[in-house]
Amino acid sequence: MDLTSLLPEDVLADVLRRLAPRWLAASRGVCRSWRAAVDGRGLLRDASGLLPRSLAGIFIQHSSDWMASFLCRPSARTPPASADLHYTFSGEDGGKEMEDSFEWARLPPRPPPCAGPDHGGYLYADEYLAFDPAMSPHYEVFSVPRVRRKHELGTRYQLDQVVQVPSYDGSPITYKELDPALEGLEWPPSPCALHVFSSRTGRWEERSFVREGPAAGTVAGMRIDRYVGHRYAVYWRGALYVQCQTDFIMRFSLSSGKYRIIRPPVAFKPYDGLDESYARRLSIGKSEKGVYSVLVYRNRIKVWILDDSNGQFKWVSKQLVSHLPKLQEKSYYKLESNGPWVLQGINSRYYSDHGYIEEEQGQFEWDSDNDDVLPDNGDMTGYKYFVTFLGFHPYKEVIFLNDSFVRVLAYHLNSSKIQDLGYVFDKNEVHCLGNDLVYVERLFPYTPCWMTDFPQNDQ
Amino acid sequence: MASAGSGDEKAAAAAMITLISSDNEKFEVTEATATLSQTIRHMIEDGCTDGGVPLPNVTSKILARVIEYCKKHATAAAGEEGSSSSFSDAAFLEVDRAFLEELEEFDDAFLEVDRATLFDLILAANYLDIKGLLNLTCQKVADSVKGKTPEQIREMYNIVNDLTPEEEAEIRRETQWAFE
Repeated sequence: MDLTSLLPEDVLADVLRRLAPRWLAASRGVCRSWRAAVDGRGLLRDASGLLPRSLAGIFIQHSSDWMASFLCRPSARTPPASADLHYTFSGEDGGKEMEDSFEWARLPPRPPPCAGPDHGGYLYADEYLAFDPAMSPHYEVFSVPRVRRKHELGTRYQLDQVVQVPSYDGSPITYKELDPALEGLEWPPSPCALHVFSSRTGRWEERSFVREGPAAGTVAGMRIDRYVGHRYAVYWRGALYVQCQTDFIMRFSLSSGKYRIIRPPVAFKPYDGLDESYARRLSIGKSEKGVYSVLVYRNRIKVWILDDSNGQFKWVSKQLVSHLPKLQEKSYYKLESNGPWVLQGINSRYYSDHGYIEEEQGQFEWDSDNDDVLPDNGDMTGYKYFVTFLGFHPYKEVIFLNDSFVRVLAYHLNSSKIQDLGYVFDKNEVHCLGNDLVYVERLFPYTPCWMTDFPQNDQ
Repeated sequence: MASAGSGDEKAAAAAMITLISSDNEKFEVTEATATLSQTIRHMIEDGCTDGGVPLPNVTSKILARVIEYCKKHATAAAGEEGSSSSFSDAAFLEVDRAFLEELEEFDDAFLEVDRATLFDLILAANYLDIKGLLNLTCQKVADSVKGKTPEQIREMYNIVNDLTPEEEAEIRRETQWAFE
C-alpha cells in the first residue's frame, strides 16, 4: 500500500521541504497530493528563490593574474550572499582557490597529472569546476590532463619563440621531442585517470573514466594546437563538458564514470601565424538551453546549441551573423566615459596597495532588455580593432564580447541588439598598461544565491 | 547546588505518568520522559492525566518505540541542562561530546526499521508533537526520496500516478531547470 498517503499534508510537506531544490521540484511530479503539498506551501518558490537565477555582474580574469575584477551595474549593496564559484591560479607552488566576491576557500595543492603511461613530462592538467547549487552545496574540481604543446616549457605562460632559455635555477631548458611511440598513442587515453577535488572530503582523489566511442586523435595530433590559454567548461545535467586541445570536447558523466568525445561544430584549424589575439577561436559555454558553442572571428559570430535528445550529440546551428552590427566609434575612443557598469576590484591583495575607490551607489539593477542599447547607425564606423568572445549569459541567449580589449559588450543573439556595458580595465590602469598586452582570459558570470558558507568550512 | 539539582530530579522521577496505547496496554513513564511530547505536556499542565493518558492513535508496538526514544533523549536533555548551568571546563565538554555521539548512534540504530514502522513513527511523533522524533523520521524519508525520479519514487512507495500526461508535461515545463 501507499504509505505516503497516510501522512497528513503538512507532514508530507515537512518531509519534502528537506529536499534540495532540484529533488523538491522532481517530487512535484510524483502524484497530485505531492504536488499539492509542495505548491500549497510555496516550498518550491522558497527553495528556488535561493538559487542563482539572475546575473548580478561578471568577474573578469585578466591574462596577468594580478588583475581580477568585477564588472557590474552600480546598485544597492547586494546581500552577503555566496556566489557561483570560480577558481583562480595562485601560482605554481600554491593550491587553487575557489572564490566568490568576498569569501575564499583554498584547495590543497593538486597532485601532478596522473593519466598516461609516462607520468612526468609531456602532460599538463587544467582545473574545471563542477558545481550546481540546485543539486548540492558541494562542488568538485576536475583536473583534466592535456598534452603539452610541441614547444611548451614547464611554466604556464611561456611563449615558444625562444628555443633555449635559462630556467629559474639558471640551468638551460631544452625542448625534447617525444618518444615516437608516445606520439602515436591515442588521446585521450582510456581509461582516463584524473584528480578530482571534492568539497565533501576536502581532498584530491584519483578517479578513472572509461571512454565510450572513439578517441579524439593521437598525442602528436594534440601537440599542434599552440593555444595554452584558458578554455571553458560547462557543468550541465550531471555531466562536465570540457573543451580540450584542438577544440574537441570531453563529456564526463559524473555518475557513470564514463566519458565520450564530442567533435566541435567546425573543424579545428591550427593557429595561422596572426597575432594570437585575433586568432579564430571556438569556445563553449552554458546558457538558456544548455551547452553552446560559439565562434567569434573578427566581427563575425556563429553559435551552435548541443542537441543530446536521442542519446546522440550533435550541434544545431543557432544562427549565423555574417557581420556584427556596426557601432559608433564611441566605444573605444571615449575612454573618459564609464559605461553603465563599473569595475570593482575584487583582488584585494592587489587593490589594497592602491586603495581602490568605492563606486557610488546608483539605484538600478541591470535591465538586460532595455539598458544602454547602442544606436545602430549602420553607416558609422565599426569596431576600432576587433571583437573577441568573453562568455555566455547563464540564463539568457546573450553573449559578452570584448571590443578592442577595452569595452565589454552584451550581444543578444535573438534580437542582434548590442549593449555597451563598460570598461574591461580600470580607467586608470588602461593608461599604465603601456605596451603590455593584457587581455581578458576568461569571464565568470556572478549569479548570487543564498548559501551559508563553503561546505568544507563546516568541517 | 548539586544536591538541589538531584533533589529536583528525584522529584521529577517520582512523578509518573501512565500512557495507554490504542490496544489498551499501559506504560509507566517519568514526567521528564513524557513531556518530550508537547501534546502530553499540555495535558499535564491542564491537570488531566489522572487515570492515565489514552492514546487512541498509537499502538503498543509503536508506543514502546516512542518511549524508548523519549527516555534516551530525556536523559540527554537533563544532561545538557546540567552541563550548561554548572560545568564549563573541557573535561565535561568532552563528556558531552561523547554523549552526543552516543545519542547520534542511538538515533541511527533507532531508524533501522521497516518502512511501515517508520511511517507509524512519523504519525505518532506528529500526533504526540515530539519535535526531535518527527525531525529524525521525516529526514529519513526525505533521504530515501533524494536523487530519485518521480517514477522511481512511485515504485518505491507504491504510489499511484494520478497526474494526467498533460499535467506531467506542465510540471516539467514549470521546473525545467530541475530536470536538466
